[in-house]
Amino acid sequence: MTTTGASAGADLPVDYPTAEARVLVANPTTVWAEWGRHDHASSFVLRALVDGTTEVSCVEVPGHSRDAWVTVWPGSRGVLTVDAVGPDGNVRLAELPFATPVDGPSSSSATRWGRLDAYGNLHRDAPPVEGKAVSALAGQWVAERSTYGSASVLRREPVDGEAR
Amino acid sequence: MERGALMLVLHAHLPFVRHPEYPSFMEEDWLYEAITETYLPLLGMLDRLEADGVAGGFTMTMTPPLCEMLADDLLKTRYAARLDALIAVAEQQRDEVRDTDFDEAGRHYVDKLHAMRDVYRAYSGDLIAGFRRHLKARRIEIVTCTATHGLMPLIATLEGRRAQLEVATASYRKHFEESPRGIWLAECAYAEGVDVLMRESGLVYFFGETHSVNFASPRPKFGHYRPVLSDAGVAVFPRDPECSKQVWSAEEGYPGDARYREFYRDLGWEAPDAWVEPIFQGSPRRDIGLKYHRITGSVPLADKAAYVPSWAEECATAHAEHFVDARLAQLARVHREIETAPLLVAPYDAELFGHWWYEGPLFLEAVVRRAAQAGLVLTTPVAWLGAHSSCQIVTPSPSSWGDGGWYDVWLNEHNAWIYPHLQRAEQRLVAAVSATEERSALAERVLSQAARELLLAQSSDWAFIVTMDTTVEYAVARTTTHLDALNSLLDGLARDAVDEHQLSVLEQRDSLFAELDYRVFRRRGTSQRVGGVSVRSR
Repeated sequence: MTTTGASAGADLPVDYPTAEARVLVANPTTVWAEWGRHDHASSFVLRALVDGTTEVSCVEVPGHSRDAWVTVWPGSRGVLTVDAVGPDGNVRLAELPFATPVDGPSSSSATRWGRLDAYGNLHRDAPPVEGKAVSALAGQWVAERSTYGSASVLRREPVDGEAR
Repeated sequence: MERGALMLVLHAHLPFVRHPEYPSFMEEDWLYEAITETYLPLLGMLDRLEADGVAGGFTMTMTPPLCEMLADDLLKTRYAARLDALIAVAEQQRDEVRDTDFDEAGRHYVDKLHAMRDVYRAYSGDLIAGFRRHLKARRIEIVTCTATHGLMPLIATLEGRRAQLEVATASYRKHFEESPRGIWLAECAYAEGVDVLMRESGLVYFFGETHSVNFASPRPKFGHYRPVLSDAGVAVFPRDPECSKQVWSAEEGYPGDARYREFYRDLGWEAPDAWVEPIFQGSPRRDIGLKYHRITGSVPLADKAAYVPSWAEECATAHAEHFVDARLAQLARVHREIETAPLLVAPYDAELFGHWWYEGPLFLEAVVRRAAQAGLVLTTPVAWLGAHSSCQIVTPSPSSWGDGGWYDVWLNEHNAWIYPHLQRAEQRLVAAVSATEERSALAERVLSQAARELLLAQSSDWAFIVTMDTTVEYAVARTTTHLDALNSLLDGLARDAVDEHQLSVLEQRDSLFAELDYRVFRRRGTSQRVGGVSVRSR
């Protein structure tokens, strides 16, 4: 999928005459990449690679495209490659590192404790806080846009064994 | 705080909207409405609590663009005139509805607006001085926000992210005469590494979405019921979903009660032309903030019943009591579960209270007073960190408080076109200011103004408006205008042909952060220093 929304202002360039590319993370499973003009490209191919070589996604978009959305796994750390496909074969435009957030609680329950002193310095010698671990972690929710502003209203979906 | 505590956080923010090139500008209404409906009522509330010896006990963000607007002489003059004009309309309407169902509402607005004008005049129009006074007395805690509400995860360069923090802390020092300890990251949007930059700017805490902590690694022992520390030594205070929903939700939350004021029926659309002309000055009709109907129920706007302020006030008091009792019950329940003192963090947009939910300030004041009576401890981040020495160290999860919990609201198929331009502008500015060369005073002015233009273009508000499909034309114009200005300034500098007239016009129009030094965008190695100062004192 490429961007189809509002266009840029009249005085801004339609695109940029370089093959530079960039990536931004939209959510745990979606990264967005954009790149400059590459003359003679009939299409662009984007591949998301994690763990060095495992391809988790491959997207091909037309040569007039300047951006694309790529689906990956939550918590991925990898590289997004952008290739221009032209008459002389593929030209690698960019290899863009990316990292997406996890979408659930960590399986690690190791604990370390610290404290901030009055000057804001971190000390790692703080005693643990006694108490019982919370039985379940709240986290995901059904997206429900607030009437009033940018904050979502948290219609919470239980996770981590929490009772519904 | 053995039984736990509640942390109320009000995020006061508006994008920088100031148009000296027009005698009247519609989007400046956002500020004027918020002053009348939210900021003055909050200030009045703090004054009353002070007089009654009740601690405020809550935290506010006052974002740098908002502070710059509240301190701006042009906007202050325009606001004073707007308030006078609004009072005149309210007085005419009071006379018009005398002895009808609307009589009480008619009198209410006149009294309320006069009271607000009294507060405004008591502070000589300097609202920041009012909030600063309560900050100095530690009745409230005030934190800063990213400089122009820039969404940190979508800012491309380290330099750009650092500038959003350093300009913010410098602006805070200018307005509040001390250094901020904490920050509201715009939209609670956190990304890996932001904590390290925060430390460089002397910031030691921020507010996160629930899963910034619940999805942290390792998993937090107490979930979102206690703040955590990042490895960089920054505390994260996560939002509590229960507190949020009870207030935020239009369907299930308090603001939807039938007795409260109806937001969508406004006298601005119905009043005679002669009444409202001093406000509109030839511009199209729109809301003016005078609303004489109550929510009533699920009926068409035309069938809404008269607003009765005394009923709404009773309702707000009852809701406040319910909220406090519910928090006490929640704290007891969570305390039984985790066997240590929980913290409930309840952040809201400040403008929810008064602007969207007209009775919100009444509710807040009643919550604060009721909490003091009922033994519900209200705390602030600094107070909590001072009283609780240990926090679990984790790696916070990237997150935001927007729809879905990530960054899609600000990066989607409708607004993604913004980012190629923003990112290239950012890189261009960083390159220009990082070049080692002797610069004339004029060149320094150009670079500083280019920095202001980039910061303004980075406001998350523009991408948000595009997504929400509200004042899209204005948001697009603001994005492109600032980027065009930046490109034009840097083009002129590169050609050694600076247009001084254009520069002066831009300096007057986009006048925030007068003290800003472009060097804040300079390329640097990652610094370990704390409390970076990157804005020259004047």
